[in-house]
Amino acid sequence: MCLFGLWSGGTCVHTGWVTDKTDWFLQNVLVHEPALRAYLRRLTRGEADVSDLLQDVYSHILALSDEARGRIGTVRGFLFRAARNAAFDEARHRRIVPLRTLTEIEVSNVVDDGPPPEQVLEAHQELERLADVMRSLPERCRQVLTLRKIYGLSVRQISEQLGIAEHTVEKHISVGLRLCAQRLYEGEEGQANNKAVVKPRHRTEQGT
Amino acid sequence: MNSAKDIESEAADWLSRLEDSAVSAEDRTAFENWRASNAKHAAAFVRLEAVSRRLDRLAALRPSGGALPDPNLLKPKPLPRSRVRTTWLALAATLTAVGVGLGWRIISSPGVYERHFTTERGSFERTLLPDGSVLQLNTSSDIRVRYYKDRRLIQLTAGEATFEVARDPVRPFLVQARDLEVRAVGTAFTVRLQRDHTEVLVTEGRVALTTPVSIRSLARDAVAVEAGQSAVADRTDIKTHPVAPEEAARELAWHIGMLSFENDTLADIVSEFNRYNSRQIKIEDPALAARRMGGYFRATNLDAFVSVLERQFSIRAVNGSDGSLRLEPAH
Repeated sequence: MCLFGLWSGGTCVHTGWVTDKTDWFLQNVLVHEPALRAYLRRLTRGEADVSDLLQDVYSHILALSDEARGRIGTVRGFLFRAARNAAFDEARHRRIVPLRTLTEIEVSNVVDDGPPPEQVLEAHQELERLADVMRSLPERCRQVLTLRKIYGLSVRQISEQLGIAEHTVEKHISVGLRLCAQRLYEGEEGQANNKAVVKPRHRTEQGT
Repeated sequence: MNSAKDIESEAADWLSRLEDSAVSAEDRTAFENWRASNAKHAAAFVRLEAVSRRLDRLAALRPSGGALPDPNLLKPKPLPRSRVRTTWLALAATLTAVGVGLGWRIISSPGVYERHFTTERGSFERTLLPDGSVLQLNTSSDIRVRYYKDRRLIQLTAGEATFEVARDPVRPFLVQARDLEVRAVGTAFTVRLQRDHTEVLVTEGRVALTTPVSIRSLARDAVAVEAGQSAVADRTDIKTHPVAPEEAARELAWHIGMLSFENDTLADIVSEFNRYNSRQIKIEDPALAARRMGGYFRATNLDAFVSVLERQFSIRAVNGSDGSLRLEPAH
């Protein structure tokens, strides 16, 4: 089945699978970030800026035309190939050869046992996870994002309720979003998250 | 060249600036220039925008009712600092639990916890009931909740609702939807009122469906519906059929504000969007209405849906004089 868009498997193209770009990215690309980061860290032995390589990888997949996206096979496969290329390019650029030479077989193994996209039916767990991330934020960030995301208040309304300047509210939103991204998709937190997702609670035949 | 962290920081600043409804035209231009100047800028921006989108799901935690926004809704629980404090906290917790228990008993003894929930078009509500059951309301819905000593009575008079029922063998959970009564003890199911029938989708446990005596002579006595089944009840009969997990997931995508389609007719897809948006879409061409397609969209993002139709399906959207949008083949 092909719940999350035209580009997730390629098999649903005939029914015209389409979705908003940001939602598509959230459902189909971002879910692989913890695994991609782990892969890039291993590949570069921790000597490259993984976030920088990832920005390259993401810019590649975002630059594809709709039509090209239909032809790339699985998103996960594309991301890992692009990650590998980005790592090699970077190493060549720096004229060093620190890369572990992973064979294609190893690469495809990494690609195959990945987490399935998020499941709609797990909305409950998703909310708990997001609430936990919110609780982990610095106090002001947490308050501002609570008013913004849970109550849907505007920047001005938040500034009035908390008695802080509007540009301060914006700064807290900015910092809060980055911290949430970090806790949801990077490092230890991201790893833990990833592990939890790798054990599918529902089904494994994604994207077919 | 900027580091990844610098780029991310700039992207986050732009994103939060653009959240403000009063963004100036100069700011917009400056943003577009920034984004177009480097592919990594665009990538970092989309990534954070996606994270922001994910956090939007937190809106489901908003308490119902008109209470003032509480910035400390998700305040972390304080960590106990010492043994003594731990004991004290545990004691306090016990007392609170007893207090809550008593409070509930006192309120419930004459028989009533009563609440009325409604949602407007395009809005969703998720709320925790006093027994721990969870109620999720879809767009344009109306529901009354009354808890008595011997039963939990819910009346759905419009729209669609999902119930995750806390187990309580002494007080069955009864949902009345027009002529239909759904009886559960502890389970999860969704009831949707349609114009000429009512649909019950069970995702966990089982429920029993009955209709009022007047109609019951026509139908069977009580119909059991189990997890993975859906029942359609009209004025004369109740029919059940199996629902695959992925189909159920599609039907319940509204839990996170999304709509999901697979091989559905454009007519059906449009009527779903019309449930959530005040701007209505019309299709007059029958061949167009019968075209089948799939997709995954934010329920309230009509623009994204329409622009996809225009770009990928050779369909034209024409503004109607009454504010509606008419779809027709572009040729």
